Amino acid sequence: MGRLDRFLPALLLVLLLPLLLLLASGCTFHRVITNEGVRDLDPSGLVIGKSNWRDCIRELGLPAASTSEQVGQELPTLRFFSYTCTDRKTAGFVITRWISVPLQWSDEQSDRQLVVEFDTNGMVKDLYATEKRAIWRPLQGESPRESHSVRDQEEWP
Amino acid sequence: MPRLPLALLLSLSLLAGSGCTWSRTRVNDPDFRTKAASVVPGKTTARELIQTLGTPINWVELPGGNHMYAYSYGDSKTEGLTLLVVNILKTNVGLDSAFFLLDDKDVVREKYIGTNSEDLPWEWWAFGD
Repeated sequence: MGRLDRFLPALLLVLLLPLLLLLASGCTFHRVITNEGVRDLDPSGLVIGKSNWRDCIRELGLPAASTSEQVGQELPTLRFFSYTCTDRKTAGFVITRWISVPLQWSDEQSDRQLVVEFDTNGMVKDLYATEKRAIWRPLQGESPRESHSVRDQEEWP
Repeated sequence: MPRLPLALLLSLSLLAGSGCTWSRTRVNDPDFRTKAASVVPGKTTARELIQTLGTPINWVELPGGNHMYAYSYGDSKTEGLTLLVVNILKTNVGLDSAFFLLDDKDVVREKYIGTNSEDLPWEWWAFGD
């Protein structure tokens, strides 16, 4: 019995430590949306072979990089304009006190990408659109992604 | 323990362990839009444009001796609620381009300024559409 009394505090500490770590930890949900306005862009006013790059800017605004890392790398040209809204969802379980054990899952998708291609005279040559939803990994399965790509102007997402 | 003191104790613990987070990141010149407003088509030259806005990130040759300078800038706002057991954060990023069309005499003829980074909202709720 006396031996147990001596080991009891150590035993309690061993049992309590995981509980304390658990209490000091947290679930993190972080979402990063870039250029959210691109979701509402409507290219229906552009006519292939008739509209030019100025009409494109008037209808859709200016193209831009889709992530901060791409600024200065993805250079704007008059060959095509790319409008992209990206969505990154990060879910994690992070123990923040005493030890650092981050467990994180990220999923980044081009939520909506609209590409307008021009010919050498700056006239609209083609239009493409893609939609793909980001999910909260590992809490969601693949089914909510709703991937969708079109080239036909009558089926714009 | 009676329910009310327990609820109060729990609320206090949550309050003590919680916090709000705000973070802001500017991409390139934070005053780009203000500076670009001073560029006057038909008057500002390429030299003055570079003095005002710095070196462009891209230079595009156009038909008829015209050319275009392209710039990039942006803004990012993060807001978060940090509780004891759950942290929820949302970052809204707006990245923009600006195009300046110059003629063969190096005078700005047209200017186009992006607005993605204008009036970005502070939001912490990360769920939903």
